[in-house]
Amino acid sequence: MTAARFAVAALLAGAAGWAFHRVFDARALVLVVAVAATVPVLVAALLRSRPLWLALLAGLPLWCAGAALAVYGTVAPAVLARIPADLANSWQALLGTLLPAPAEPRLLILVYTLVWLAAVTGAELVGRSRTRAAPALPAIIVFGIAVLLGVGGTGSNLPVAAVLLALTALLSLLGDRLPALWLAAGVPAVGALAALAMLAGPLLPLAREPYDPRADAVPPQPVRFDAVSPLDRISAWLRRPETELFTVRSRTPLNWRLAVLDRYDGVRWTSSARFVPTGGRVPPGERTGKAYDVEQTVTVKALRDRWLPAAERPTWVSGLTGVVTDPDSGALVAGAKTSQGLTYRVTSRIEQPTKEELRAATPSGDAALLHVPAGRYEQEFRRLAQQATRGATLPYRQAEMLEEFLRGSARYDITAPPGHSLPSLDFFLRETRRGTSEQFAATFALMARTLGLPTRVVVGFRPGTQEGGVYKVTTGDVIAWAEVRFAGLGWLAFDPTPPRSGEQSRHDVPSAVEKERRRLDQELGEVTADKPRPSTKPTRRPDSAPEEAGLPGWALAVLAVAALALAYVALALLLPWWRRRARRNAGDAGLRVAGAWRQTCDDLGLTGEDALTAQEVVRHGDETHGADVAAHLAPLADITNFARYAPDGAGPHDAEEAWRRSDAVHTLLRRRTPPLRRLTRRLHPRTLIPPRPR
Amino acid sequence: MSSHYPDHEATHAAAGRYAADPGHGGEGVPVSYAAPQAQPQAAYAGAYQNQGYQGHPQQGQYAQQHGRHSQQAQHAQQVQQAQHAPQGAGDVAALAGQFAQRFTLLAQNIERVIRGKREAIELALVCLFAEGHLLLEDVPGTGKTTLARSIAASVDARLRRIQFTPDLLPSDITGVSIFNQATQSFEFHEGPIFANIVLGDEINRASPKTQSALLEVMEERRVTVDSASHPVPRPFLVVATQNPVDMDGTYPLPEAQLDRFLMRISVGYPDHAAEVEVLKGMPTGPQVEQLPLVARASDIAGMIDFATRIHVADPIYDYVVALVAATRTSPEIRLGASPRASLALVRAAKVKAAAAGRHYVVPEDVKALAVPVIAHRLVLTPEAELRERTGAALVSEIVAGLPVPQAFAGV
Repeated sequence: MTAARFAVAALLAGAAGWAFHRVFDARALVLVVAVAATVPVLVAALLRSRPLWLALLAGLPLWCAGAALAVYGTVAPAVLARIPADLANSWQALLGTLLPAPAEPRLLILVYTLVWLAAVTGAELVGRSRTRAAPALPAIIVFGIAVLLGVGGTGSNLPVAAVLLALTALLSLLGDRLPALWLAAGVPAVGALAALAMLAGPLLPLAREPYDPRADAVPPQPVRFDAVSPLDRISAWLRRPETELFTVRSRTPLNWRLAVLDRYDGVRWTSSARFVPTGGRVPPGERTGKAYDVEQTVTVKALRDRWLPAAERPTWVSGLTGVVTDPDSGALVAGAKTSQGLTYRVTSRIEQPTKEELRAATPSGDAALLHVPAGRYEQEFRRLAQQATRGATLPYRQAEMLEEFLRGSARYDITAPPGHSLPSLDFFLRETRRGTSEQFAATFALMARTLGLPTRVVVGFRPGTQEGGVYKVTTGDVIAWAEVRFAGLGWLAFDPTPPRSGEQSRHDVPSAVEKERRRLDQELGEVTADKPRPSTKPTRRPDSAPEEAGLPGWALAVLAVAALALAYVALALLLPWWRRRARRNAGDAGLRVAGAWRQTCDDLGLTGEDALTAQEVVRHGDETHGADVAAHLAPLADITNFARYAPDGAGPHDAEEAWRRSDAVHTLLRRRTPPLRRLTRRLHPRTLIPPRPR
Repeated sequence: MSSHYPDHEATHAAAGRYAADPGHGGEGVPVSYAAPQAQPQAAYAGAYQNQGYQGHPQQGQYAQQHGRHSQQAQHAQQVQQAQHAPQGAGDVAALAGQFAQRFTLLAQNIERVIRGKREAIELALVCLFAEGHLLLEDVPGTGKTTLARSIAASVDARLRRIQFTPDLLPSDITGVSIFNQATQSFEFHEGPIFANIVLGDEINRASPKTQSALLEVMEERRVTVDSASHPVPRPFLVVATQNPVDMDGTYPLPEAQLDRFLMRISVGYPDHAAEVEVLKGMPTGPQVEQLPLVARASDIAGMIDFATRIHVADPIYDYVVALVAATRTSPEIRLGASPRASLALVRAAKVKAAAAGRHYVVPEDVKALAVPVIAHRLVLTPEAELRERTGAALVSEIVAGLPVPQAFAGV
């Protein structure tokens, strides 16, 4: 029986460890969880007749050895020395990693240790205590941690929860002999409770938007790895347009996005991305509407950068190690600079917003995305932007008109002076009117920002030249464009760069997105601005928009908690009253006497003190509550003993007398207990526990 | 108890029905120490004789087998019938009050000599009325012998004292058959065991052979010499003493022998006030020899018989069995209590109930007797002994944690 209980303890720890399958790739977990769940249980089972400290001490070197072998795959001393530091950092590292997390030892060590702890605690509880279900508690706690860390991961932990429940029930059944009542009532009750939790759980406000600890984790510092902004390299690349940077195998021609720059300080555009490690998954963007996926295989040729080209917003990247991604922009960055021959696969999601969505689009973004350094340049840009978008009321239409304005007002020229500081942009707009996409995109971004459109600049490449299903991308294909963020739609691209004069033929493959855009633009252009602009401050509105629909989740939760608390209070107050009434009105005189005695014991606060005899209760009453209480208790104890143990049994008179005494004790106790204390005692969960038959 | 709760006494007129406390619940039979042979004893004995409870079931069966005391055998059957007849409960209730009165009187009488040791005295008396034997284990000078002598003096019983020494022979206890040349036959000369109360002093000093001779008599209540059985008189109480300190050259009693003692108790040192009392009354205070006679040996036999009629409800049996079973499953106990222990516990609990003036046993009785009745029968594991755990402590723990049977009122 004990061996079976040990086995169940190991299975419990293993099941709890398996709950991490939403965090890590399942294959990486098998060995780690298996070792961590079995070894400590074996140690505990073998050493259970020895002192606890010895068993725990014996487990320590095994833990180290198991960690080195199962997690790190080697027993080198350097690895052993790394374990404590890795363990200390693993929590933070795991919170800063996108799911699924890469199967790295420095992250897996946390799973290994948690499962080990659950197994040790569970097995020692099995071996050294007589508790029935307590050995399952550590595993359930680890399961809770795994669920919390797995929020946002793929797959479901529902089967794991069911297995844990079943194992816990098995553990209870394997314990000491269980009264039949427990089996008859307990098992269906637990089953019903589990079914209720499964049905009602998804309805809770928390289930729709589960708490993600990553949201509260301290985000990693922005990575500043590029000394030269990609925007600065556009001119240089355009001067030598023939260098083949990379090739893309894709069924659809798309603009290949390289870097995303969203902060402008008046001199340069930089990225505020906070990159987090990922095992391949890139969190989806804001929009959940119509879209299609495009798979690309990118092979790097001459590109020497850490930014990784990919179409639109990637959802999955594979074939690389140490990839980090910015969950906000979806930009991908490699662990080291790319080198020739590097190949990776990216799956991207191409959004297809509908006409209605674009018409209803409202800008949304924080103040940093609207920042333009104040001064005369800002006023000039604002004036020009307002002039360019006169008559337009829809935010999306404004952006379009701005795009058209820039396309028409300046010329594309790769020989134009580079630079995107405020003075050079002003010079570009008013004097030279010649520039590369660097100036066009940067100017568009600043002008859009003065209109209240949250805008950023993206550096990337045109689709390139198609050769047998493979798009060759050269330095000449480099292009910068701007993106505006709309609520519910995410970032929408605007390309303010006019077509390249004389080179149009080279770029015979227009981006699929661009084609789609043009079609929509035409349709939208036909629709005149018939609707008034929603607000003069469009950026404020979207923040409050979703909360207007119905009660917010927290309010519902508060209401539910309040209702539960109210129900509890009502139950806690009514139940004792009902119990007293039922005891007083029991059919048999002997039962009424027993009821009076139990009532008095409850009043004295002796509920559950099974081992006290009647006289001991009297003594307790005398010592704790004084002689006047004991004066009623003593005859009540005599009547109770008489009713229970004498051959002649109790009569109605005895029952009346017993209740008279019980009421007297009740009144005395009530009189000397302060009301607040009485209330807290009433509200104690103990009052709800039904008395057990003995 | 009731003296602490005046309200109880004043308002609960029916108290005597539930617990006929000796102080006030009974009829108030006048008792005179000066004339111990007077009215009370006669009335008391008469009451039992009228009820026909002279006989003892065991003895009755024994008598029937041997064709003697056939009248007692009939009584025995009546007793057994009466136990199952609820209509007799009222009489038993009334008699329980008298029993309690007599018991208290005896205890008070003995307490005149053994000061401040009411608990030990009552336990010894429970032993007497439960027809068990008492093992007194204590350091010298705490009144072990005096206790046995006081009991004997109070009940007009024949007391014999056997000082156990290593050279004591079994026949020194049981007696010998001597050839009488005049009658040309063997005559049995009774040994010191033929007495109502036998004080076996320092029983562990005798050889195991001698010890077992005594223990045999204790169990069988008769001595067999040369194929002739010689019953010992009633009441028959062996009070054996042991000194737990000076163990050199002793033969500790084996567990099987210890099991034959109903209880093991220790008198213990008196508290400060009681010892002052003892010193004050040293030269002229009450002496054992001057103790007034409270009951005759025949009264005691009647009371012994009466105690067997005390009602034991089923939950009490459950409680006793659970208690004994708990000693068998405790991880610190190598050998738990035997069924003999549970029988002994019920027997003693009945006397305890009667001594409290009740005609039914309550869990308090069992709880109060669990340690003296069970503790000495346990054999602890070596680990528990190393930790200096004692049987008494273990039994106390078991009793403190064992749920008392209580009526389930439904809610």
